[in-house]
Amino acid sequence: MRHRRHLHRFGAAVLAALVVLGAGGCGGDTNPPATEAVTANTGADATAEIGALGAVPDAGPACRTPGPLPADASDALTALHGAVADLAASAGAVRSLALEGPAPATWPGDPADSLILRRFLEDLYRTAGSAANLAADPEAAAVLADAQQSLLALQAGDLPRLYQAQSAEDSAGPVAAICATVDLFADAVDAIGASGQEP
Amino acid sequence: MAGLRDATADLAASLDDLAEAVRSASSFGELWAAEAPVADRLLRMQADLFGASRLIERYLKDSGATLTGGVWQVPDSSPPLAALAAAWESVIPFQFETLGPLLGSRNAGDAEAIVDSGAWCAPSAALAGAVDLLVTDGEG
Repeated sequence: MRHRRHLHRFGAAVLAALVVLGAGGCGGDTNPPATEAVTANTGADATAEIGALGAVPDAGPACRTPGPLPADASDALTALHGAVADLAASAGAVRSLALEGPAPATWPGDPADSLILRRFLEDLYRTAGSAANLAADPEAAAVLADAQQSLLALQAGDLPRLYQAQSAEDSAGPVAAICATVDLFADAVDAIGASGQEP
Repeated sequence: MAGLRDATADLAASLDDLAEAVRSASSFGELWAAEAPVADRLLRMQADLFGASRLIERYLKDSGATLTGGVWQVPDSSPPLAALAAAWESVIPFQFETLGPLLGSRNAGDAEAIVDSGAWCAPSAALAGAVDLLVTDGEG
């Protein structure tokens, strides 16, 4: 890693930034509401952007992908559809790594393994952003709400457990939760498309 | 470059907001972070963090750096790009070493100790340091 030669200078810059930031926080300013901020980080071209970055191993999708989009699907629904499809693929890669590869305890230390986890997390939070305020139909909204709650539970409980897993057995529960969340988002996309009432 | 600067500010703000929500949390049951307002702010912080990560990656690739096996190779003549690569690399350790233990906290003291530590601001500080180097070196 040739760039490490330059990290003394970088370390000084970070240290200076931390000194400026002090103990009062990270230096952030007043924020917009959460939904707005999440939405602002996504867009209709997000799928193409992530696709161009590549590097998700072709381990095959572990979870259900959404059905075909309606011909008149909005940009927002198209973005969510693409995000969920990518999420299913990257979740499949995490599943393979956690259940079939070397001990997951090595994840943070191996750059290639970290990249697999990074792609999954990118897709997960892009999906969360794309899903914000999308469903108008009450039934679709209920499915989407379930998916978002599942994501929160994943983030708050299953992912930390996955990070600490020492064996494939330890990983099985969190991996199943990952797939369940992806399935719910796929269900939500299908429900929104079927309702024809997306905003 | 403006995008990186904005991403830095957004990330710092969402880290601060999440820290504030953690400090005001009243219960630390198993899924305490899945409840409002922590849940909303956590989602937003993660969206900002991985949004910034994508911007960094695009900037590095546009600048001639290559990503092989999860490791960046940047031109020797560009310390700012090396700093950006380091900021990118810090995202996953932050998930494991800082955010994971925070979400696994079961009492206010442990949780507050994490959001009050230097590690909490490390992702935004790393990106801010790299952006400063880009400006200093005239690469912005």
